[in-house]
Amino acid sequence: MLGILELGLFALSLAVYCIAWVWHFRGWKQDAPARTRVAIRILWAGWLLHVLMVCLRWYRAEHVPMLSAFEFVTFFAVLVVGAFLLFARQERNQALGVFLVPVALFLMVYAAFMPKAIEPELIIFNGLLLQFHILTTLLGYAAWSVTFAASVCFLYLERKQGSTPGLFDQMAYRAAFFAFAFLTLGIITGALWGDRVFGQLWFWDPKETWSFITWLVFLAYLHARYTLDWRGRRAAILAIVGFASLVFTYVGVDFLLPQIHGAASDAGMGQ
Amino acid sequence: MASLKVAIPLLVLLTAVTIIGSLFPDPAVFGSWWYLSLLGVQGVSLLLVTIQHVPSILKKKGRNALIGVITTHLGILVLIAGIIYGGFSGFRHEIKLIEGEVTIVPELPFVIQLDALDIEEYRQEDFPRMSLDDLPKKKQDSHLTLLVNGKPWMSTVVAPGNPATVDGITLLPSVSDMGWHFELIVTDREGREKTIPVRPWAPPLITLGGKRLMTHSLITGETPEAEFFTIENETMVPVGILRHGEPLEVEGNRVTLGRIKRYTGMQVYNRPQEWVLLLGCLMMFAGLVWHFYFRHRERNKGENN
Repeated sequence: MLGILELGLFALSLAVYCIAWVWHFRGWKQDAPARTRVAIRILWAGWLLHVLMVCLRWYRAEHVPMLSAFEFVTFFAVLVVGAFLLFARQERNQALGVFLVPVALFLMVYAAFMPKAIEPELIIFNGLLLQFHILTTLLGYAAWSVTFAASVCFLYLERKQGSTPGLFDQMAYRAAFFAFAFLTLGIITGALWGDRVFGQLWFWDPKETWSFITWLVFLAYLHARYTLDWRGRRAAILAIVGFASLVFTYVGVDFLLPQIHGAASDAGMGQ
Repeated sequence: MASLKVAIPLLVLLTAVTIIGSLFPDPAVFGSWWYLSLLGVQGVSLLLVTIQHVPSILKKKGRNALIGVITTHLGILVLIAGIIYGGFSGFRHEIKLIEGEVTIVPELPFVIQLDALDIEEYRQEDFPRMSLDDLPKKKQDSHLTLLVNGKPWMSTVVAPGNPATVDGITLLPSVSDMGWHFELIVTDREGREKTIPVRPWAPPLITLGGKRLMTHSLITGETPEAEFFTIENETMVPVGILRHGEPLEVEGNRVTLGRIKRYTGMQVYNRPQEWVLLLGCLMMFAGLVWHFYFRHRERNKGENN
């Protein structure tokens, strides 16, 4: 019964997100701030339903709702929408949603095709370290999603209006800093967890290697901005490369190469 | 080396090489001398560039930004140093422990006795999409006694994800490498008995009446059973199944199942570099937080002014 309710909340929040995005897009296109405000209220409603769904999952699974692939992607989407709602408190930031909400929509649709059954928590998943690893990695992913959306927004506005929207350029940089710090923490805690379970800090399995590659791209982005004074278009393109690397680390590697994290995902872990 | 014109292409090269390396199924490329050298060169370049940029960061971004930048970069250098140091220090052994038996491991000041393996299995209905053989364990505790000069010194319980560290030596049982160690009792035509231990990780070749036999694992369902094979033309051909209480007759010999004990794989290692790695990580992260905190504070100050 609760399982059906959970699925219902998932589908409902996805539908509400879609409506909110269409409304938001129209408000932005027609330059109608009143419509955008309504869209953000609808998005808030969808987000609360989504959070409720995640809490229900937590209650049903009796473990943090981030361990299976479905839980991981759903939680990722909660953070992405939550990040936008945080930015949207200031009206000048609201255009970000046009580019960021589709990331969450994509994640939700991707999650819809995943197995949703709840399985018992494995002994190797016990303990705070793994939970901390997944949470920090997800925060890093969500923050870089903001960098990505702000960069796409920047490129779009630059092309359309011919001006350089410095607001989104700065937003991308600030979010990138968070993303880098959280991804660093995520990689470190992941290594410590791997050490406690498999007896080695680093295995160079493809997921780890690609996390390191993504970390290097983030590092290059921050250095290009900090020391080479890259701004605007060049930085935005590098941010998009960083997002492509992140998506490949999470999705591409699973389909292309065998790995330790694959063993974990066989056992129900989506990370 | 001290220029960003070298450091940035080096970073791009490191990224490109890592991407290419990830395409190889064997991660040994990342332990090769040339990859470690590339990491080392990147580290040296990083150090030189950081030193070179100290005055300009100090001038343009202030003292606090500089502290953050230096701490983070020193952290990365400490981390690289730890990785290289790790290549030359410590030891690691992968051993098998059998219930009730004592195992001697080289380089250890104690011997390890596995008193008991406390295992609880999940049921098939808990993981419907998994086969019976792949079911994970609900509980996987190894109760150990460490002996010095033949006398018990200390006792500990370890499990995957919950290792014990004694005198800088870590004991970590394997998640999946576990099973049954068993004995075969062979009675020949004259009634003479011989006991043959079967270690599944190194199964013995048994010759009975000119026939070469092999069995490598015990399946424990309701009745424990081991399948026997003979080797013909380099392929394994099934001969029969030995069950508890059901002897197997081979060329006039009677084979029965003797004592059955659990075994587990275990890693035993000493890793003096781990404090260096931890220090490097802490410095790197502390530098990032420091830098971000002060950047944010100074930006707010700037906006307020």
